[in-house]
Amino acid sequence: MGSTLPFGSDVGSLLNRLIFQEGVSSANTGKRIPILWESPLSRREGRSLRMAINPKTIQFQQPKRISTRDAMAGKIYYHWTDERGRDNDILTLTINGTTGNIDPRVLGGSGAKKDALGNLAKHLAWAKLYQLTTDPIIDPLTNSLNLATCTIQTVLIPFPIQFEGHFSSVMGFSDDADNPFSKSWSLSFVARDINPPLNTIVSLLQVALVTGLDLAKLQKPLSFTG
Amino acid sequence: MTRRQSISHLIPGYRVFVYGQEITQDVLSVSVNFATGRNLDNCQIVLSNERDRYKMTTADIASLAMDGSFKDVLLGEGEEIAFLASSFVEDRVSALAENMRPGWSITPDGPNAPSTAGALGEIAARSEFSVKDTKSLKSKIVLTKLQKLTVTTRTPVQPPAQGRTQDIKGQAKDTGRIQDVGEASTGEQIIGNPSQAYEFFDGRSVFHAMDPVRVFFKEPDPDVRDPDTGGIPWYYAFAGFVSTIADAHDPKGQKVITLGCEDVRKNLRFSMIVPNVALYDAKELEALADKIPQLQQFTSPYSNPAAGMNFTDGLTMVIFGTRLSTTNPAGSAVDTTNVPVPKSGGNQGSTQVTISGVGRFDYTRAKIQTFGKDPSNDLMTWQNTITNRVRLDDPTTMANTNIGGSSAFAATNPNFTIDDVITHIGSDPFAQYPVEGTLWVLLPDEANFEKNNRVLTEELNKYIDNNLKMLDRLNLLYALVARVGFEMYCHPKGNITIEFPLYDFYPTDFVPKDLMSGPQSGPASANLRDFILFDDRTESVNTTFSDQNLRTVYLSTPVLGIELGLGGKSGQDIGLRAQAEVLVPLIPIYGIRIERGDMDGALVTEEAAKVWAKIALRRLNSNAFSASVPMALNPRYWLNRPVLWESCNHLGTIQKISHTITWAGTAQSNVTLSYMRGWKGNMENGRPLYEPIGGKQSTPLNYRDLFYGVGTV
Repeated sequence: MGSTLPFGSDVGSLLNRLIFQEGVSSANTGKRIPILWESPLSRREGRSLRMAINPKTIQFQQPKRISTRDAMAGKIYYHWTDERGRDNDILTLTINGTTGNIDPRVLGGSGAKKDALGNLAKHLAWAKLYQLTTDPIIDPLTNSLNLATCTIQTVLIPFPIQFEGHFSSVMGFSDDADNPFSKSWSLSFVARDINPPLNTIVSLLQVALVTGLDLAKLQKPLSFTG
Repeated sequence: MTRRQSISHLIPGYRVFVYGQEITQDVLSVSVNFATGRNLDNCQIVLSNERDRYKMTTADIASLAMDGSFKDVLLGEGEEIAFLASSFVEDRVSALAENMRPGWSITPDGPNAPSTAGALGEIAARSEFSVKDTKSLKSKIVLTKLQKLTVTTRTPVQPPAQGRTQDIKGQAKDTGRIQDVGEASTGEQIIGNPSQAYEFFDGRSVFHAMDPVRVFFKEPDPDVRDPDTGGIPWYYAFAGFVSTIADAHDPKGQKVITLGCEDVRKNLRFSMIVPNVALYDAKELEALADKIPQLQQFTSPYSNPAAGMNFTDGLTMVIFGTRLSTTNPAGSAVDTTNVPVPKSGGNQGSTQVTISGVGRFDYTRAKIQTFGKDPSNDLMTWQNTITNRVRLDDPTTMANTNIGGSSAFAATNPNFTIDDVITHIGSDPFAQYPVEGTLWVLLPDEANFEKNNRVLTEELNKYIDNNLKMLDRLNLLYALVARVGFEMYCHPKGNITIEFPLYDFYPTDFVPKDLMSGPQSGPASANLRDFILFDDRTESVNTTFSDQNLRTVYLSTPVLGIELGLGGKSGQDIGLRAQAEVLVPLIPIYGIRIERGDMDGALVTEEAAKVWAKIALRRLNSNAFSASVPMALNPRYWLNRPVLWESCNHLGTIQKISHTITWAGTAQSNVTLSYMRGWKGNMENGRPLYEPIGGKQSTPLNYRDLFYGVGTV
């Protein structure tokens, strides 16, 4: 692929090298990075969850905190800003996925058994995730907030980023007879805190992309406590 | 036909302090309502109380008990059950059940201390917003009120003088006062220890009535600049006290606390002045009279406590009391040119009566400015002086000299910002910057001449009686103000402000004339923008004309007999005639519509009756055409100020203002205008002449007549 990008020669060559020659994207997608779900309660009860199959889609949505009023001479936009002058509202993650094949039948043979165990793991992951979305918001033992965290790393955001917040709905799912062993599910998650902040991530990303830093070396290893 | 649509971007903001703690982050909405007149301004603060962050819980009470804040607190049998059944501990009932015993004490040294104390400690440690967490706002509020944090707290205040005869007997030996409780100058403690005054109950808010409140609004228009800093200006939006606390917990689990607050005149409503001598028991007086010569003068029920005072002395007396001196309690000299020191010196105004002040108003910061002959004392100067914009020098100019002199804030914070000033003042509602500010008075030139005390005298003597009479100071203050047709309002800095009505003025009287065509420049505190209701921010136009209140003739009669008991002049008053003010131009349409009214018991000359008839008719007719203007938030608007309503091409005087900010919702102001004047095509000195209904503007009034003139007493 000998494509060139419409940037200045230095930046363009860097990006060309990163993307087309060294393959930044492949460096980050070559290894599958499952999403990690946790909460204080689930961690204590050993229910931390590493997804067997990553979601089909994750929609990141962060509306602006703007309200409007009509005045005699036109429109008034009220911007409700934080102390840094930003009017960004809360980030919401809308996540859709499927269980994958959860057929538990063992058809015989070592390979099939292995598949069945994998199916079992996927089914178990679904159940754990469902339970996580139903957990109490107040930890009954500590009486403190039982906020969930999910740690995500994608090609777009090639660093592990942890979203802390709460589920705004219990996981919804559908049991479709047309797909007896693969069920779809969805949930939405309100992120109260993002660590590191997305702005930091995208700043770092820009530096990395432009300067040719090895993104893989910048990544922190994901830790799993579940 | 549609006009070109404009788009405005506004960025509202507010900061809210209660009991010196900033609670802005939890404020869902804040609204303030200001109006000229007797009614107190109010402020409503709606707070998120999620997870009881502003409410005492069982865990909090347990925590305080563990901390030794409450001694020997024994829970009764019923309370014990309630305690254990509270939502907080219900999941732990089983763990605690084994520790339950009758007569259970929650103190470590109680009868069953070892087990229960341990259980309580465990409970107390598990509250996210427990008072145990010293970083939480709840903890700061509670511990401050219990004096467990090192802060300067409220010093004694004066409660209403309600017949504390046992104290008066002792104090009278020194001062001869007819009422005197809670003497601030001696530091006498009359309200008890604050740590005892603030009670905390499981399930109730951590806030209490009389908690001081300060609210600040940010200028929402990003194009407006602070002339001192170049940044976005902030404004004082409210100063006062909590009055009501409403705690709501709806079925969806949303918890909200709504604080209803009233302005700093609140205390005046509860503080009484006794104008006659019946406070004393006659037999006690007789017994003491030979020992205390001063008491002799109280034997007459018609002693005049206002003798020797002028109008502003009277206002001063009602707020600050009569025990004023030319030096403040801190010992520094008072600028007598800027302070309403009663004229007779010494015991100030009255040699007969001593009346205590109210609250923490700062006498030495009081200002009286006359307007008229002296060009340096124009309305622009006044406006600049009493601006509601937060200024960098506020830490110095607002510091209460009664408490501890001027602040060293600026010296210790060389790079401070407006935000720092707000934090500093909002966090200190007791010592340097009590929400109760001072008194500001704007008078026509020469109105405050010597001995125009008849205004005060008449008000006090209306109540002369052989029985005990008690006047609440708020009503007395308003009576004094209304008596001469003045306006009273509470400035959001916390200052009681009294001005003559400014319905005959132009917005440009408050700003440099050269800003007429360019309102964007010049000092922001005297900016023409502050006096124009701009079209692009106005949400709707609401005007009403009704002839229900329209009158063409007003009759006012001097009151006969008011002089009785004041020197035997009543005979001179007999035969005074009623005075009529007539709006001739309106008679062909409306006919003779007569309204008769007298000022409340104090008009004794024909001239005064004439002036009053003019004022009263003008006020009455001004209500025939009224306007209520909802608009985008503008915290700069001011009560009793003439404004130009751009789209309506009318001048009006602001009578009411309300501001409401709902976070992530709306930010609105609503201005109610009175004394509306429109343009009929006449010009004066090259500018449009705005005229009221039925007559020209600028009808000269001689306030002197209402003040009774010189030497009438």
